[in-house]
Amino acid sequence: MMDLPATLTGLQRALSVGELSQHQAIQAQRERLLRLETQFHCVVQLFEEANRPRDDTRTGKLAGVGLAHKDIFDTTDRSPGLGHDRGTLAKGLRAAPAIARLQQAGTSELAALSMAEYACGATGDNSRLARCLNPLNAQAAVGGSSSGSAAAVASEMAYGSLGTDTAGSVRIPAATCALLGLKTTHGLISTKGVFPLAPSLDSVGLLTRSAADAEQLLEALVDENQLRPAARQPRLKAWLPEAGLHASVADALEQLAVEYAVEQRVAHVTEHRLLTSLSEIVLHHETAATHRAALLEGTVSSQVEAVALLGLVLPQPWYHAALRDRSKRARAFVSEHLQGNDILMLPALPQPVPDWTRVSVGNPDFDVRQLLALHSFMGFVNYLGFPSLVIPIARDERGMPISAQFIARPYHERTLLTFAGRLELQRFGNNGFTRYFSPTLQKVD
Amino acid sequence: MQIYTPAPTPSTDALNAAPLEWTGVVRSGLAQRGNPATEPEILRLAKQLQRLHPAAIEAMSSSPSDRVTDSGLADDSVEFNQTLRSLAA
Repeated sequence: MMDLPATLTGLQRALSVGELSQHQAIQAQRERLLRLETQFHCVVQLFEEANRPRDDTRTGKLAGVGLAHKDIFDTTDRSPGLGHDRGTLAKGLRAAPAIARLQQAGTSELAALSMAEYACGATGDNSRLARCLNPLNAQAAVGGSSSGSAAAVASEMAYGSLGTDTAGSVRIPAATCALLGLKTTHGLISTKGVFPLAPSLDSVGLLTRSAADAEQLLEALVDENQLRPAARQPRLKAWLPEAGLHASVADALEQLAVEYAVEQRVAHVTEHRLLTSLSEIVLHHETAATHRAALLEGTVSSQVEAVALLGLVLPQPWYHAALRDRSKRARAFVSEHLQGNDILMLPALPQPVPDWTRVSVGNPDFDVRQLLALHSFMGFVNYLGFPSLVIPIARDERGMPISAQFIARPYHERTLLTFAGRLELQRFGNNGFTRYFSPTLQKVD
Repeated sequence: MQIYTPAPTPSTDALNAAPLEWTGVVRSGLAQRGNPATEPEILRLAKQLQRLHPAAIEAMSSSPSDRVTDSGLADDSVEFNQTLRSLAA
């Protein structure tokens, strides 16, 4: 069995020196995905080579790289299943621009991945699909809604995955599976051909096993001039909440702040509660608009209804006011936190990665506070539209990741990724996060 | 082209109502739906409205003009994207 490199950039190196051919690389990735998909239950549909360009004839910087994405993107001749079904044949349908750009760079799409139904959920819970397992620990929850993306990348089934993030749906799964999760600036990557949840908050994001891998994918997804150059010596400000954090999370953040000599620290971001409420108003209203017909007919699933129903009763002026206000709030946020600083560091999850039984509605051990905690530091960033990145910074006593979140000004993704790359190298070496957190994982095949 | 019809707007009194009255706002909103709501469902939604109310009041104290699309979604995307670009510098 071929031993594939741990990271996308490692694979590129192996291809460039002829250690393996493009054909061998793709075949090995397909074989590995076939072996592992029954183990982690994160694949909705495998893409066969038939009717697709031959993988070994692709050109481009990412030729030979296999990816698999959340089943929310239109793909060639296939309409996505959205966590509701297994997708449908749609002759003539074009791939979403985000997918098309990756294909133009040479990637091969291996599979469509599971997700919370219609992207409504902070975990991978989905009564229509088998429960997606966390490759690091089968008892641990897999965050959502891009749950299949996280499980596939963390189990090394794919070198990277596109997801969508409306209130943390890329960052939460990344934090539960020891991955890098990047929510891009609102509007940076086209959402055309991507099923909406709340269009004002939706962003395409990506999950990878290393910062360098994410840089490679982002370069393929956007034009060179869309992004600002990386800050060479980024200045950090830390938001270290005085209350509400588990001791292990608080300690890990504090150590990081010390290590990076963060001078400016705040215990409160005064507008956090306000911004979170405004993001919820927009989320509920727009989700209700997206699912209005099914909501009124009463045919919507309980998971979607849990998010959308409030939108049906929210007074319209609240929604309009929340949206009108956000340019002002975004300017104020930069002025308070990112003027003179390049990055704001804050918690990703306020608690250790929970067991799935604690955050699965209907389970006897279900604890609603643990479920809500998953996105307590997420939704306000979508309201502001800023880029945000989550990466592991430490390991808790169970060996699970403790992650931090980093926010930058719009279009400053390169600053986030460059900083994440340094941190990754210092703390975890150059073999990606997964083999640090689960050194035996690659042996499952 | 669809004509956009705003949903009934609760009166200022209703928006500032005591917790119990939030259930009225919920009942009126859910009246559009075919199936009846349960009391726990109404109470849950009323509590959520009550929680979000202060933020809504703060936002409503700001600027006027609404730009509303056929879908009933407000369209702030042009202005917001300009704001994001200006904040990049």
